[in-house]
Order: sequence, then structure tokens, then C-alpha cells
Amino acid sequence: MKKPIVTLKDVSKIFDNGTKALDNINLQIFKNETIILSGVSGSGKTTLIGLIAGLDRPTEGLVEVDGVKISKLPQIELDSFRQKSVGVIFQDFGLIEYLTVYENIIASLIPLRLERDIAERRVQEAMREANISHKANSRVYHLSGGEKQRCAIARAVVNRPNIVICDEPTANLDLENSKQFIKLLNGLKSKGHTVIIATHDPIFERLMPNIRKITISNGKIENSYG
Amino acid sequence: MQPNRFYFALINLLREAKGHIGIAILSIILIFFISSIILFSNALQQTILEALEAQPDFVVQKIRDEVIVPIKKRVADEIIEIAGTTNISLRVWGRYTFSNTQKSILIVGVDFLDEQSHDALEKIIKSTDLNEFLMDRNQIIVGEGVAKWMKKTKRDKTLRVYTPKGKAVELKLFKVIPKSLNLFSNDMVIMNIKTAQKIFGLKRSSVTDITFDAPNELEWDIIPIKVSSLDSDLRVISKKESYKAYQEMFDYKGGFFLLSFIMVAMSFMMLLYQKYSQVYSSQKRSIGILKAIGWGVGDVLIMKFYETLTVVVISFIIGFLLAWSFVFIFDAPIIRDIFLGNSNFELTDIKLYSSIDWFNITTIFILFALPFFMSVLIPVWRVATTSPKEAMR
Repeated sequence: MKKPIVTLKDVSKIFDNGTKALDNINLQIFKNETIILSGVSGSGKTTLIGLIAGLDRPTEGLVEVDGVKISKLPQIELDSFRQKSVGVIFQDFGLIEYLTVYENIIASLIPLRLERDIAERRVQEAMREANISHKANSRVYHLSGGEKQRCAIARAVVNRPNIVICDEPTANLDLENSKQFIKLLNGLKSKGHTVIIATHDPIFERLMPNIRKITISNGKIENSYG
Repeated sequence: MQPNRFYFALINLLREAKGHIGIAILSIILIFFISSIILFSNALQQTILEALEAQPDFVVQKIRDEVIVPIKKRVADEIIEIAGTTNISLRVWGRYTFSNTQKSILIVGVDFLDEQSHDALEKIIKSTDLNEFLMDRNQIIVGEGVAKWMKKTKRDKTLRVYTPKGKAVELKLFKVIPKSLNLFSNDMVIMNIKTAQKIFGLKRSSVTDITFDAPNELEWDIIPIKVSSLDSDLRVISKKESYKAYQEMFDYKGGFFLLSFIMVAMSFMMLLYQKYSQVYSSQKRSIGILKAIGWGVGDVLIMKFYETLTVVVISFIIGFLLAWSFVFIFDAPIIRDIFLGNSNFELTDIKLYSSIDWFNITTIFILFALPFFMSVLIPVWRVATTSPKEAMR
């Protein structure tokens, strides 16, 4: 039987203001799988991927990612989990604007304390993979939306995580750049990454027809197919 | 360079230089200001203590009804009989005030043929052509302050003073004491002891004080007692007492400056805290991003520590070097006026010993660096301990 790389068991998330963002979620995602989490704005997609990425903790339930029960991890170990196991591509790219592309990417490797040569090789490889090498020394605020997205991809994969998580990755891209991005995601899949995409952009269903799609509504999984 | 937190701190600092320049300039000014005062005050202290070192070991005066009265020359013969005393000199030493300008000069009348217990006086006398100088009893050797004042008041070559009976004495300038002795000699007028006696209306058999040395310091406690036993009106002042008085004055001044510095440092800290709280609300997102990509609270704090350390060390070195140059190369123009401007004659040209008190420098560094680190690291810690999602929002 295939072993899941992500398991969510009876997971609920209630924010400090009392809003119930997720309600009793049960979900399994398998290695090298690409899934789409879809739903309207405010449905709970971003909260769900935040829990999988270890950026937030559930109010109730268990979150196990890459063999680690992250919902129970102390903060310091949760930081270490984020260093090694997941790469996140944020909706607004999550880049440090005043740094260059190269510096934003290498920032991910600093807590790993790698040798200079190894770190350099990984950064060059990630930039090549994301097709952003030619902008290595440009500061982020000089980049176009598509270039920022490619920089975010390079940063997400530079620490060679098993899971890449994307939050509304095409929200700030035009059609052409969205197509380019999906092409890059397909490349990640072929390299063995598990890819989780939270989006309500129909382009993914058109260009990635054979992947599992999970629909979330009002914090609950409405249906799952594919 | 190894891609570590220090490397990233330098990159961050370089890319966000404009956010740090204002604080760095403010820090440089603060360090420059405080270091200049401390360097100048230390150097002055050192110079004064060196000058004191050149004084005779003991000065004997006669006090009656709390007023210094003339002392008979023969007391010197009695002091010489006390075992352990040497270099006994007679001096007429007193202030003469020009009533029209309220300027006062220090008249020092010595017997030029005697050996002087005052090292600086001995040095001046040895460098003087005594044959020529003693040809005219009214010739004088003056400090630089007096010489400048004479020039300014068109009395280039002569100085007219009056005896208590109103008789004018025309003093003639023979030479000016070298600048290197300015701290000791700025307002000094050295002359033949007989002329000085005449100016103060003293009898030939009297002087104002007697000086002597006692080479064996173990005898420094007993010798004054022996001298006082010659005449109950005699007061013996040791070099140690003057030294202690100056030391206490400097300790008091040092404490005052330290207190002032703590007050300035506190204000600086509040300013920094306010400034960095603003900076870090804008840097909140960057810290949130670093946390989201796997940086721990410790990683963020260490990176910011290196960043702050770089700013602190660079500001301190620049501020301190500027202060050192200001004091020892450019002669501390404004501070010099504050410290020495109230002198009877403008004491603007003294040679300072370029000494550095490492304890004071370390204290300045700690008092400067500590609030700096606190005002940076506290806001950073607050941001770094919030959830990455919250910080990135």
C-alpha cells in the first residue's frame, strides 16, 4: 500500500477572533502526487496549506508531513522542519524586495549551514531549473511578475524539499506567465516532488487535467476526485 | 565567503544601507563627542600629573592667622640639618595683579646660582645664559601667556609693576619659556629673588617659601613633622598632597562625565529604540519571510546581532579615531577653550601627552553598544517570535 507523505487527521483551526477556518479535515496526499486545492476566497485553502507547511498550528487534530508529526513539534523543531521538508511559493511571491534574486535564493540555505561550494551549486541549479539565472544579480523590485514567480520557485526548490506548496501561484500572473509556471510545475513533478497547489484559477484544470482536485468550502472538504 | 548568518547580515546591511546611515552618523557624533572629552581630560590629567612630578617634594610656608607671612631665610639652614633633606631652595612666589586689567601674573623669584628642587625651573635656568641674564637684576623670563599678553598690550619688552610703597619697577623681557612647559609656566614671570622681594615689599632676610626634596619616600611622613617642630607656624605641603588633590578633582570630573555620558546614552537608546521600532515594523515582512523559509528565532537574532555589531564597531572606530585626531592632531579647539579658556592668560598652546585610558574607552564602548543592541534586538525578537504568516502580513 502507498504511504502518504501528508496526513491530516480530524484537523480543525479556529482563529483568535473565533472564526472557524477549518472544520474536521481528513486528508492524505501521496509521494510524487500533484494535487489542486480549490475553493472560493475565504474557503480555508490558504489556512490548510499553512498547516501543511508548518507556518501555523491546528487548534485540534494531527498534521503529519514527511513522517513528522508537525502539529506537536516544539517551535525550534518546526523551524528545522520548514528548512528541510517543504518549499513554499506564496501568492505575493514572499520575496525580500531589496535583495537580489541570488540572495533571496541562498537565504533558504543559510540555516542549513552548507559548505560554500555545495550551496553555490544548489543555487545555480535551482536558478537554472526555474529559468531565472540571467537575473541572478537583479534586485527583486526590478523584476516583472513572471520573473518574481520564477525566483520564488527557485527559492522553494533550492533546499531540495520533498513537498512544494503553492498558494494562489498564478493570481499575479498573466496568461503567458501562468502557462510558463505550470510548465515549471510539471518539471518539478517529474523530478519527484510532491506538489500541492491552492488555487481557484481554472487554468490548472485545463493544463493539468489528470491530477487530483480537492474542493474546500467553508473549511470542509467538499469533494475530491481525479 | 561561507554562506552563513554573518554573510547574510553583511548583505542585508549593504542592501539596506540607507536605513542605517542616519543612526551610524548619530552614533559617530556621540562617540566623537564623548571620546574627545575623555581623551582630552585624560591627556590633561596626565600632563598635569607629569607637571606635578616636576615640583619639589616639599614646600614650606609660614602661616599666621591663616595668612601666608614671610619666612626667614635662616629656616632653610635649619631644614638642611634635618636628615634626609636635599636641594633646599629659597623662593619668592606670589601673585601680582594689575589693577587696571585684573590680570595677574605669578612672580617667581629664585636665586639663580642655587640648585633648584623644582625640576622645571632647573630646566629653564639651565637653558638660560646666566652671565647675560644676571647682568641686569630686572630682567625676566616669562611664560608664553604673559609674552602674548605683553605683545597684545604693546608692552613687548617691558612690564611695569609697583612695590607696596608705590615705587615703579621696570621689568625687562629676557626670554620666553618654551611651549612644552606651558601648563606649568603660562602666567609665570621668573626673576632674580631680590627683585621679587622688592616687588612684594619683603626684607632681604625673608622669602615666601622654602622648597626641598627628600629622596627617600619612606621618610616623607616624618620629615614634615620634624620641619613643623622648628616653628609651630610652619606649614609643610608635600607633592603627594597636591597629587591627591588633583587626582580627587579628576575623579570627580571623571564621575561627572560618566554620569553625563550615561544620560546621553539613555537618550540615545530611546532615540534608537524609537527609530528601530519603526525600521522593524517595515522589516517585519522580511523577518516573516526568513522565518517562513526555515530560519529560526535564533538565526534571525544572530543575523541581526552581526548586523548591529558591524554598525556599532564601525561607528565606534570612526568616532574614536576622529576624536583622537581632533584632540592630538588638531589640538581639540573647542574643548580646549572649555577646559582651559578660563585661565588668567589664555592657555591655548600646551603640549598634551597622548595617553589613552583603556578602561574609559571600554566603558564608553559598553555603554554605547549595550543600548544599541537592546534597541535593535528587542523589536527583532518581538517580530521573530510571532508566526511567519502574521509577520508577513
